[in-house]
Amino acid sequence: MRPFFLYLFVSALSLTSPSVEADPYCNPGPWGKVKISNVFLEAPESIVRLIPAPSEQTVWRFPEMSFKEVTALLDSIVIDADIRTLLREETPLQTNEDETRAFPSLRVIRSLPLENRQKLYRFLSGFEENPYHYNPIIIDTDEIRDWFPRDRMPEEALSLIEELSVPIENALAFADVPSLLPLANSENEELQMRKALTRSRSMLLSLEMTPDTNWEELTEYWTVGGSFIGAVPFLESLQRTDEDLTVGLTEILPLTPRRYLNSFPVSAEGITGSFPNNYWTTFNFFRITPDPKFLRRNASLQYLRKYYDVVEKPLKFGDIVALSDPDRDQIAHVCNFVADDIVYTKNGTSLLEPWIFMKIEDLLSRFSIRKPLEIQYWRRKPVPAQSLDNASN
Amino acid sequence: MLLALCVSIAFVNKASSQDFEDSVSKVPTTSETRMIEATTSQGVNSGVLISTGEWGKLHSSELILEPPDLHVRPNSEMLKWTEGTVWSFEQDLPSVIRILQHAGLDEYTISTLTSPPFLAQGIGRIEIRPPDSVILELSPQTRNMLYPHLGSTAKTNYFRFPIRLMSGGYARMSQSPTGLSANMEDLISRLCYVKEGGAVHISDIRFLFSQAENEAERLRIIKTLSRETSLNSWLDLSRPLNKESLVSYWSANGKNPGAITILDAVLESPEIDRIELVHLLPPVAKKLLHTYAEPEQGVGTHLPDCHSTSFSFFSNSLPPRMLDSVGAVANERYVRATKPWQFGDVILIKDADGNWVHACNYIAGEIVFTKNGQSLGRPWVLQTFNEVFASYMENSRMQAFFFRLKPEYRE
Repeated sequence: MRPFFLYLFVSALSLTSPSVEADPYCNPGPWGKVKISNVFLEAPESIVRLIPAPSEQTVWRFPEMSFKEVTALLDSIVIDADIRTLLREETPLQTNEDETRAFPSLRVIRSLPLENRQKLYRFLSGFEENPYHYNPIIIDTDEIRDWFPRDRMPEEALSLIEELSVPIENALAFADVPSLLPLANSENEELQMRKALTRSRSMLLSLEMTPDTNWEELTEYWTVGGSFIGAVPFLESLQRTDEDLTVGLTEILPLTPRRYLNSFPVSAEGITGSFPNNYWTTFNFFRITPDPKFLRRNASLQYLRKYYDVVEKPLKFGDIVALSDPDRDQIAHVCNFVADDIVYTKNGTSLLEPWIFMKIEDLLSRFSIRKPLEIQYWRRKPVPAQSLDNASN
Repeated sequence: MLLALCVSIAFVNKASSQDFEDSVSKVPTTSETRMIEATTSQGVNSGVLISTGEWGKLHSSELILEPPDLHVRPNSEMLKWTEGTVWSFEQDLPSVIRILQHAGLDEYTISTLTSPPFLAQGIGRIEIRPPDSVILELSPQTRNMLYPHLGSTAKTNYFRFPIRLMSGGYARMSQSPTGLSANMEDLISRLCYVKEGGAVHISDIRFLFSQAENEAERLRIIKTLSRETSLNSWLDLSRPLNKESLVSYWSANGKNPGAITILDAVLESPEIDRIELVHLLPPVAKKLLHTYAEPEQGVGTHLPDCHSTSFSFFSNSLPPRMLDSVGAVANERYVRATKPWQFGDVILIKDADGNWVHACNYIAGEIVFTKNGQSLGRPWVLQTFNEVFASYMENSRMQAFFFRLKPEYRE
């Protein structure tokens, strides 16, 4: 049996939603007055259609486990005698050559107490064969009804998500997608529901200029002390106006992130066989032309160790925020610091994962499904060249 | 002081299809040609421009961009100004005299300039080194008549390829502090001249440099003269809104799918009452707006220009092939557009000699996305029709043509 590294935080009481704030502004800082507007991005219908619709029947797959081992495992998890009986009656098991599969009814799933479900799902998430447990839908809030579009999600579906989601740090994880599908009344309704389940929360950030704007500090911050000059003409143009202006922060970003922010990958981006991942996204942050070598994890990490130093807060624009497994000294995810507690990130290679702005704490929740991770900050070593844009290997 | 001549554009229907035919059917197009006519007006330079239509309610306020130091430092005149102003002719002396006469110089000045020590004759070439007083006293009309005859056909020759100033000329460009002395600002205004069509130009860069106090001022001169207007534009999302119309317009019937993603996202949040235009642009324009090109974005000496940008508007990225030529794409994928103009339509400007001198993309209302020149010192900006046309109005016989990507193409 494969080892599993899932670590699920079981204390539902600790669940909070710090990311849903009343104040729509970043904390004051050298980045200026930055307004936050949360938005939910859904994968385009054309991409959702590419994904085969799952069966309505939930399948729990137990690789390299026999019928007997699975029965013993389920018995060890489900303590209540009545529920255990129901589980046996309504969960047919099928043993194949190298795995055993279980087909629980919705009644069984709903009957499982939260602790039992957490324990079982933690186990299932250790296997890629269980896609909805391995990569559950992460809802970065406890307000599920604020997360999904009410006009496209039937009330029964919202209730079921509320009922079956399990807490992980500051978020909720939902893995019972097949159970939702029977609630759709038509193929189109099912498509809309599946589309809604691809939601990622991102932000539109706007920079507000007022008579109090400290231009020197602002320019220093967004140009990384003059290292990234691409934003200078635009910032100077704002300084020349007499009016109070609000501009999209997108226009201050370097070319590559501004092009990808709040968008989903398209097929052309995978033409070489690999779609952009978190390494590609992070290490190409200041590059005009993305370097394809950063599609490779090993090359990226070599680059990180050679050209970057670990630093402490306060962070600078473009610094790398890395989530790492402290036990194995292994980096699990990287992204770029933008301002306050916001990063620019691509969470996985999937076509369903857009490039987004995200709060660091939400990011940490998302990547701590299997194991609690630590945060490291890295900064590019001083580059002799005049611009980070042209930083070479 | 230079007359701040601004230009507004009137489209005049004119039955003409002389150079265009449908690329598939080969049948001459029936779409009208649009002639640009210059009239004097004040252009757009005050407050917020609001345009309303199927695109929603678009607000725009003016920005003035200036290129970064690194983009103007390669300027050849920064190195050569110590050589002084040279009027170089490839004609013989009698022809040169006729050119000077035709340009309006008086006989005494012509006699002075065509005599030593100001005249130098080489084989097949005549050089005149005009004294400062002559340069200063030339009327705008004389500069306009004379300068196109001077020097080589190299793009770095400011006499033949002058710096095009924004409509409204230097008076408008210098509304926000330039860092130049009052004397230098007066001098610049004095040296500007207006083309027949109304476009404002300046050529005497070397002379200006010679009058500057130091290297820093020379840098300020070239940066100031390279100023370009743009627009900070945003869509007003105050409810009620016609979501269907907005999505349909900005997604350009599926050619700009990213707009659907972001509009769906913002329109379901009632608290979001505006979105900056940059979020709605397709990838290439979203990436390039309000930036200056870097050599890395080109292939050798082929740098992104108006044509490569315009014909890549709906592309996922700027195809390097487009830097060579847009001919094949333009001929195969585009058809003449009719009103109402649609998001992304390509607008081509043709001069009186039949040359395509500029291309840009229609955005909404009066606004276009444009890169006014191949130079690294020219940014990608949002401007009004007026602004773009005014800066290209060499004469009154310019024409604008509108083209649209065929429905079967996505980019």
